[in-house]
Amino acid sequence: MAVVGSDNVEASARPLIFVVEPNPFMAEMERSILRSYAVEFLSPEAVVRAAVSRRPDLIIAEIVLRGRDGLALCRELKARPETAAIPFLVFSVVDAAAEAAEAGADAFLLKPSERNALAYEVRRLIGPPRTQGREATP
Amino acid sequence: MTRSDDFDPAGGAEPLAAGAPKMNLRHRRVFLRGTGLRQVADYLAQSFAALLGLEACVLYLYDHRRANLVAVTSVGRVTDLRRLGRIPLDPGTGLAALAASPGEPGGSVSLPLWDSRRLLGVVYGRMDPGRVPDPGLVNLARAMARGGALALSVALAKPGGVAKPGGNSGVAKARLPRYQGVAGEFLLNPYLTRYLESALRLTQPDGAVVLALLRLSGPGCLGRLPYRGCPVPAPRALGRGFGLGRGSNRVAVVWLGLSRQDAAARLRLLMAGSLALDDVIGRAAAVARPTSAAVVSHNEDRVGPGSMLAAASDLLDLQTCLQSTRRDEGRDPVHQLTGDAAAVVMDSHVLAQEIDRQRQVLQDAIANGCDFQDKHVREISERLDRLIVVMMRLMGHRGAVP
Repeated sequence: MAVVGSDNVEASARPLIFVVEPNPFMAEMERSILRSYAVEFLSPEAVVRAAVSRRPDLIIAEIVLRGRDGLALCRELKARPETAAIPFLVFSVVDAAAEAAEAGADAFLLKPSERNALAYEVRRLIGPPRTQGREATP
Repeated sequence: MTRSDDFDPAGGAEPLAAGAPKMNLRHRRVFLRGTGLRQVADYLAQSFAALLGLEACVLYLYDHRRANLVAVTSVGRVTDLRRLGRIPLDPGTGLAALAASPGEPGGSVSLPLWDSRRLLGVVYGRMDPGRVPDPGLVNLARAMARGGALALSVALAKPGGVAKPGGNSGVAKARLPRYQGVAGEFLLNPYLTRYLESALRLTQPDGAVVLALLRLSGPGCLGRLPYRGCPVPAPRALGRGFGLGRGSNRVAVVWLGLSRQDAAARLRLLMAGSLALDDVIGRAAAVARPTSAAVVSHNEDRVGPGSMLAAASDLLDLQTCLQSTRRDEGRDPVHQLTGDAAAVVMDSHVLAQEIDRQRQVLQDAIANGCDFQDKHVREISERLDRLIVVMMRLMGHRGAVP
């Protein structure tokens, strides 16, 4: 997990997205694609805690992660009443749409995808940016 | 992936904290003392990530012949700037136009720093008199990356300290007590960028402009192809050949009016030895032997002028990386595509097929009972990630829409 940071530029009026992505290059791409949103990159361990306390608008996760896989993460978050309603998007190198749906994920996207495909899927799940007031942690 | 994990970083000299390079002020040279290749690669990647304010930096480290990949490393954001010097970023000249028309801000870019003998000098902001880095290239990277990600190709300046595949006892002796590598100017042939720009400007929207990059081995292969000089007419007036380095390393050829398939077919003949390098590049010594090749087509891959070099560089590094991995694993360095066709020339189509193939390997491993924490699965996933990142960057260059 090389990239852990947040995008706090003009974050005051943007939906908050947590991303769990082990590849720094991929993480950067996701940040670039989702730059209209407030995006935070978190480790698999940190994302559950952060989701409970801060209730992001969306969580995006890879399946193949160190420590805990993305599907297990999804199951845990969906099992918790306080985080069950948070949309969960699986964005993975593994072609596991059925497994993602079974784990409770709201959407699945296979890598590589066109930039707009990810943006479209996020928009479909949480609506366009700048419609909700959330703030990323600097 | 770093292939020098078993390399002894002590090297008989006093090791430096965190592998940081030490500057020899007396000789106004920068060198790394007592560090291994992994530390060199990590330090350079971290330095550039910090200097350019990047989210991520992937660094491909080649040996002094610019032919063999010896380390690949990637780092995320680096925040400790105190240990780094300043980088002289004078206004770029030749590449200013390219820098002004990159892809989306914050996107990722691959910078073909073919023979960056002075990369450490750049990192420290200390240049030998009369030898400065190409500021335009640095500005290009900064402008295109804008906080995004950067892929660098860097070559060692001197032999030695290069871990042999698989590692052996000889590796520990091949140390870098006074490593002066990676200090040098950015030897990108300026004629290549100018030629590409004008070719793309003058060609019809559907006209074909193909850029092929070749990594060569063999002594003196660039002796007759000026590394920063004027291009050499390619045979049958199809385009121009360009030198890209002093030693036996890389050359480029730009073909006009040739489709990607035809270009790849010619390169396959070249790689198979059925075609002489002279017949492709224009004027090269007969001893030169191509080891890797990559092709980018302006019209088929839909890449813009500022992105052709970056995309081709990505593909060439990827091809070399795949070959190195396979060689390490004791397999045929030429990977096979679906249908058993040999993928000797990397292009976007080969990349797409290779992604499908690797994904199938991953699916098979999972189907056979491996879970996502399994080491084998993680390794395949990392390989797949590397391919996917290049593909997504290519998609980013295209500005593609679903």
